Parts: sequence; structure tokens; C-alpha cells
Amino acid sequence: MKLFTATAVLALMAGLAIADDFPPVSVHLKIGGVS
Amino acid sequence: MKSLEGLEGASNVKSTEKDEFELTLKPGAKLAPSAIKAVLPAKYSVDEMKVTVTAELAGPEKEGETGVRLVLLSGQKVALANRKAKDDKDKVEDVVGKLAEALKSGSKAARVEGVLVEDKDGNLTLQAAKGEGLPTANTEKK
Repeated sequence: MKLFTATAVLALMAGLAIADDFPPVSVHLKIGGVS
Repeated sequence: MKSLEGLEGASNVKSTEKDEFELTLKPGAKLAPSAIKAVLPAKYSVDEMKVTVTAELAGPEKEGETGVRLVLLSGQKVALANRKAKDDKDKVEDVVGKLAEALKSGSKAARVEGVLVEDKDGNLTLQAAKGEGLPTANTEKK
């Protein structure tokens, strides 16, 4: 159980670290149908 | 437009013109014109979606294919193409060639600016106007 919890925590930390590596995406939209 | 604020991962939504909007998306959020269209009232359409994105740079998916693509944090794969010329005099930079060279030289990521288009099957292509290879996707911690 402890091993499972430790593995889950490490996986979560790795996921957060990867997410932190990527800067946000800038988006510019042109929307049709706006009167 | 209020409904854009409901888009998952969106922030800093602001209107620049009557029909033009800017926003920031979290890096792991789904990036596609159809994802934008899904939160808009039915009478509106997404006429153009320009993005500036940093993502993993990858070669062709299958052996024998050519080209480079981006793999987003969300897992979405985006084919790269050079932007279309506006007219005969418009000189288009070979961004795809530049990024293919960068990939060969060891770049693991790229920052690319261009128009994101989606076909009826949901395949994404980024028509790149600008692009540069990066050693990693981490540009914030240099």
C-alpha cells in the first residue's frame, strides 16, 4: 500500500513538473457571425 | 464574449475588435477550432484561430513519411506546414524546413506561431508563419 502511494505521488509530481515546462498558449480568434 | 470564458483552461479573455478575441490557454488544454466552437452559441463560427505554442518537436509518425510535427502536452499531434502566401509577391518563410533542420540538430521542442486549421476528421495542421527550435519546451526557467 505504501509503495503504491509513493508511486502515485511520484507520478503526480512528474506530471506537474512536465506541465510546468510548457508555457501557456496564446490564442487569437476571429469569430464569424458577430453582428 | 462571455462563453469563451467557459473554455477549459482559458484565461485573460479579451476582445481586440468586435469579432476578434485574445485569450491564454493552459499548456495541457485541448487546442482546436472545434473546442472553441463547442463553447460558442450555435450562431457563431471560428473563422480563424492563430496560436503561439511551445511543444515537443517530432519527426514523421510513420517510416517513409516526411515533415515535422508538434506533440502538445495534451497529447494532440499537430502537423506543420508553411503558411499560405497572400499573393504572388508574398514571400513565405520555409519554417517547416527550418524546424526539420533544428530537429536534426538536436532540438527537442519548438515555439511556433501560425494559423491552426482542423479538417473534418479532427486532424490539426499549424500553418506556421514563424518558428524556432528549442533545446527543451522549458522556456520559462532559462
